[in-house]
Amino acid sequence: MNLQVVYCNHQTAGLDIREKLAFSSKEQLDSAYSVLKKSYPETEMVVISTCNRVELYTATQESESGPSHQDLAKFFSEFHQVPVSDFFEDFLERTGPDAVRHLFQVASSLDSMVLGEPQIVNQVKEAYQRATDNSLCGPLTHALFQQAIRVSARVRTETQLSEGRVSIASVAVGTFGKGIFERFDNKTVLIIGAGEMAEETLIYLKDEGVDQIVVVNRSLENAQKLATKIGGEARPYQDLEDCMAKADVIVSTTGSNQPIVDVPCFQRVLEKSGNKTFFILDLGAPRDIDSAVGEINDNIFLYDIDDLEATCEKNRHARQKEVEKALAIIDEETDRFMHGIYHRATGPIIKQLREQWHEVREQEVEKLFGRLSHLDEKDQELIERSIEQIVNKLLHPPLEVLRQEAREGTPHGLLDALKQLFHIRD
Amino acid sequence: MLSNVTVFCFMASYLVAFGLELARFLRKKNKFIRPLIFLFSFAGLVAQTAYIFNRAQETQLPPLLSSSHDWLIVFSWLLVSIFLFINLIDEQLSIGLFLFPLVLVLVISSYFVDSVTNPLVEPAIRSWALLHASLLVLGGVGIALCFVISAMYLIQHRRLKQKQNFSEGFHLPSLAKLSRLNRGALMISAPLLTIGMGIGIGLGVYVRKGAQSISFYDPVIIIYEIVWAVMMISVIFILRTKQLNQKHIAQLTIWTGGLLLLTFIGIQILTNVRVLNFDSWHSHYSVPLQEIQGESAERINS
Repeated sequence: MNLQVVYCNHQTAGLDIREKLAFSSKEQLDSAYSVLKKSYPETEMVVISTCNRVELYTATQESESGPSHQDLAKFFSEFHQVPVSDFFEDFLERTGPDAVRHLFQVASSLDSMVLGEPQIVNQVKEAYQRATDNSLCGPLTHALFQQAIRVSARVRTETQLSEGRVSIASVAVGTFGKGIFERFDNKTVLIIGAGEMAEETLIYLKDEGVDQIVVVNRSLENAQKLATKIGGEARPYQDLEDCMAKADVIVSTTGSNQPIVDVPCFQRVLEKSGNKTFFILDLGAPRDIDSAVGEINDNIFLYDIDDLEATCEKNRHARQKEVEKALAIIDEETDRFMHGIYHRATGPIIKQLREQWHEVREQEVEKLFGRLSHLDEKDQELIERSIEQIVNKLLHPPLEVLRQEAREGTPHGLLDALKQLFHIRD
Repeated sequence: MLSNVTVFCFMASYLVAFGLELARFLRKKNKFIRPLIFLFSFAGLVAQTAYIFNRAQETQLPPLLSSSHDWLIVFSWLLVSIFLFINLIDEQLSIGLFLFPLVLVLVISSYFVDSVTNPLVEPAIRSWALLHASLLVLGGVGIALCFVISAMYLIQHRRLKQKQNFSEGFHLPSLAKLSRLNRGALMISAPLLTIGMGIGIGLGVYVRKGAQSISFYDPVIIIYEIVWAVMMISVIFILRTKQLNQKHIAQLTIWTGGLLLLTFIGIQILTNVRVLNFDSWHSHYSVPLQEIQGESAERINS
């Protein structure tokens, strides 16, 4: 039995290498699977290809029959038309328990760029499903990937690795926005400027039901472009104060060197809007909105990029503290999985050996009773039981050694010796 | 078995539930905490229901009419029922942290107030007296909820203004939802208390005509009326103000609600232990002092 993973991920390789080795579409992946299947028909395989990693898991029942690290590097090189020398240093390999532990860490998001992010387990599930659809999964990979999904769920339940938001936009909307407003579908969002962060924040706001979006920019043309893209309405910069007065959520991401909204400006806005609640996200650097605006009254909630980043950092730190707990779970689950696998490898041999010896015992007992026909049932039973005990006692030491050895890994040498010595066939 | 239920039984259950809520607040992530909180609260509620039922059988009166002790027990029973209902709807909400201290205060206070039957509740006025007590207790529950919701509002507001994150085990609704709920609870409890108090005055007038006479200078009634007037001024202020500052409303509600709750409970304890030594319809002057004190001591020992 041989388990192996070859991979490059965000920790080992730059984006340029990962891009070259990734399988960007389902069709490309299916085509890769068909090449692999032709080359290694006996090998079970699963490919995980995301923007942060390309990993190929292989498993074979016989240790010699699977592809080697070099074979797989050659496959990647030929398939993607990239020289092996370009990526081999970043193309790592793990085998046996290390490969299992690696998959468990990946599925539990311990190996992710954003620690504890929830998407990776779905990507692992999709990868496993794709390999199953391509008939490349077998008993080992089925067991491995199903266990990885279970381990991921256990880590999520028993640790706080996935808790607390860690991106600026999710903290802004999820942690603060949802603490202010009960619902967003009746709120008007004003975007000032056209920074990328505004678009990301809008994704979260739209998830909450926002559909009234107004874009204001110094350049009306740019405002119109963004408004078309996000499904909003563009307004000229001169209307800024009116738009602010009508808005409930203000997201500002201009490239201005000085605050574009100060206290007097916001006081004028308040005169038009009345005493309503404002949720303001100043995502510009330097700041677009004077921090004193947040102190004008109790209904203005102003957050700048540093406030949001501080919360993200606190949540990241909290997640980091859970890593050891998660690793302990993964180690425990890896050991359990490997014991199961080793037991699976030695189980058939033990069973066959027992059956073979007991078959011989039964044949000999039958012969003996044929010769000693004067024995009554009680004596026959006594003799039969004694011989059975002798067989069991003789079998005990080799089987015990086999079990002991199986705790450390598949005892290929012992299994081969037993097969040869006792003529056991697979 | 339920006939042997004492106040201590359900008080202990609520104490454990409150302890578990605190553990959840302190980030002790455990999938069993929430079901345990529910279990202990529910067990406490079952025990409390049995206790109320037993008391009603003993006194041959509905629990709200029999004594101040039973009135407080029913008050806390309603709060626990509300907690369990909210817990079923939103398991994340940390309302237990706010409601359980109130429940425990009410249950502990019930040790120190009269448990003897009110002799003035004649059969002829029983229905009206029941309505009077029911409206007051429901109004009281509404005020208790206003108090809790306002406390939650102020904590949530402080967090948002200070740009802080709550711990994972602490979840509060949004400010908008809290202010909506606060307004709703206040608008429901104010008329209930007003009608309840009106019926109480009517009952007083009726009793004055009969053999028993009560004085409208009864300090308990006067204090209740003052607190009620404060609450009504607050409600009118909230209704008349055009541009509401929700934080100020929460502050106002927390003070008014706190004062009302303190009066509700405090006045009953003070009259029972004879710190306020006067004849009152709500403190049973017809019962000798020693007898009342003996009963309280017995309950505490049990």
